[in-house]
Amino acid sequence: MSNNVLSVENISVRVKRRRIIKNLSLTIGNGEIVGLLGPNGSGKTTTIKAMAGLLKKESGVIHCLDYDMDLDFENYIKQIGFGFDKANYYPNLSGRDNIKIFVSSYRDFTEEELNKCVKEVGLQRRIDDKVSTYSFGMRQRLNFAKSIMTAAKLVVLDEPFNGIDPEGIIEIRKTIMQLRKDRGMAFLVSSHHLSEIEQIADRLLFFAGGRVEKEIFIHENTWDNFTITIGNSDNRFTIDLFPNSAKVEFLSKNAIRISNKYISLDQVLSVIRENGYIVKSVDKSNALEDIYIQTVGGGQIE
Amino acid sequence: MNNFSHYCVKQIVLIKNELKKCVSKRSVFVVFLLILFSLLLLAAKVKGDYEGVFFDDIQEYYESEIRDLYDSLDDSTLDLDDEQKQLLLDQIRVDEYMRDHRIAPYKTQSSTNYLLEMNSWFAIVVLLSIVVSGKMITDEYKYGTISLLLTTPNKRGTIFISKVIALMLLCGCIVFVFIVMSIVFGGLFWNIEGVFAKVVTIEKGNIQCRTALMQMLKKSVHNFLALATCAMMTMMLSVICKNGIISTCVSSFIYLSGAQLTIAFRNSILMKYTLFPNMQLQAFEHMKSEFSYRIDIRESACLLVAYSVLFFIISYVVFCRRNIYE
Repeated sequence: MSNNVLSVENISVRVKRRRIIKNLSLTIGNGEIVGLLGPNGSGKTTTIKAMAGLLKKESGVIHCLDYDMDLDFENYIKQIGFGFDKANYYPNLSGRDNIKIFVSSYRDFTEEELNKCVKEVGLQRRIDDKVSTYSFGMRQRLNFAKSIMTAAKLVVLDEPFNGIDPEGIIEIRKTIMQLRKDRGMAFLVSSHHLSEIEQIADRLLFFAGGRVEKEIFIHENTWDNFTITIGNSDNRFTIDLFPNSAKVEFLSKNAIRISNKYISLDQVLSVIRENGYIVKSVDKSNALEDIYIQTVGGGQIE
Repeated sequence: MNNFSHYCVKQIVLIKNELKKCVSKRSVFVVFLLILFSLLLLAAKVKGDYEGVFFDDIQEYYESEIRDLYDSLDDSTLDLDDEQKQLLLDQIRVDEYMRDHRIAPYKTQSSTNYLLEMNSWFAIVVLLSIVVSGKMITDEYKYGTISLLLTTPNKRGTIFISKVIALMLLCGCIVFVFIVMSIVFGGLFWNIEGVFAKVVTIEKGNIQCRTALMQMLKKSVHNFLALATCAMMTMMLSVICKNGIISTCVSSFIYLSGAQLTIAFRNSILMKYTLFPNMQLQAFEHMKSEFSYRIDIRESACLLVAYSVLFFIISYVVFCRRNIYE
């Protein structure tokens, strides 16, 4: 058995005559949290639906552990818990009945197990209420409860932070981290919330035009970028002024960009001031946002 | 065998889930309430429809009926053909049998007549079943649960079959409630003994004598087949167009317009093989003297089964192959 819980090899997916996914390959390791980022129409949800077998793929293979999606769909899908963007459940049934309906196809379970799992996601007070009375955040928790109960090795969540209040987002984040820690579950999370993804993911995949355009590891890329503009530039204002000059990027004759991963902002500001220049402005930007903009081209839908 | 028993266990779980989903819907309760309300109205209507022939007068009543039938047979102005003459002779045999065995005539106000009348009102149950079957798959799309349902560890075919079985069980329940409530209301309005009163018919030249209940149940088998075909047709339409209202309306139209279309195209022998006369055999049988062909009840049942299988195959293929964009 490989270390990957999921491997997608060269899949192409066509939706209504238009090829949305083109020769896409990706892997997710055991217990890894992978973020899917990309603008609307970049193919994130289509990729997830192809993994779920909801959209037929034109070519390529998908494996979960040792199970091939095409050859052994039942065992393949048993390893994955899907939480779709709208977190839809049967509105006329209680949360408990919904879990029972979806989990009964996976395995037998006791009421105690279900109660314990519901407590884990903080839904114990409302689990016997009808789903039609749940907020979106509560339905997302139900998604987690269902995924835990299925004992899936991988949980795929499409836009889990959409429409949730900050408190709810913090709880979802905590739940994901806790489940990874306690149960070794891997997660594939698609989202537009860069800051949220940055806090939980080990690896990010940037989607554009149905392909993975860039892949970065979070522990190597968590820093902020600063753009410093000075008010009184002259010919002496060159890269040689700075001690760690290779890490300073000149944007124009009076603007530079630095990353606090390599050089401290205070150090750069001191050098500027010591040489008699006036700092007009300091703009902070997230490196991830910069990478996102550079990679996906400002979110244009193809 | 092991695989088969595993499959059966899986199916039972899925069918249980489907029934749980159906029972939780308000519309199902509305359907059952409508059946009860309609039956009450019908019972009241039937009570007012019949002539006041009392049991004490039946000897005299039959004598007069038989005399009238003989008069019709002898009347040369009517220009009856052999088939029509045979029908009158059959009716005379039935009347004589009923007179000799002191069986209450059908014109008596009784629960016997009410139960026989009920077969003609089976359309209510069919229409209500169409509503239930129209929602079975389209609600999954409406609530957006289709994606979660199809990502459970079951093949799409298995899920579809469980839905069809659950639908048939539900239709069976609706028919059962219809029959039970017919008997209950019949008993309430008249007398419960009428359920077991004798009903005399001629089948293949022989006199058949059954209780009203058995006669009703016998006809209910064909009625159930018509209902199952209608339900399968609605399910097929709902799988194809993913819209509960459209599939329900189209199916209802096909079912209700059946008798009229059969009359309009009565000279075409092909009409015999379409759904229209077969789904409403009761209505067709009342007017069969106008047609150049007859539909045998067994032949009709076979045709309905064939149509149901065809609708099932089409729905199965579409359901299993369709991409889910929602």
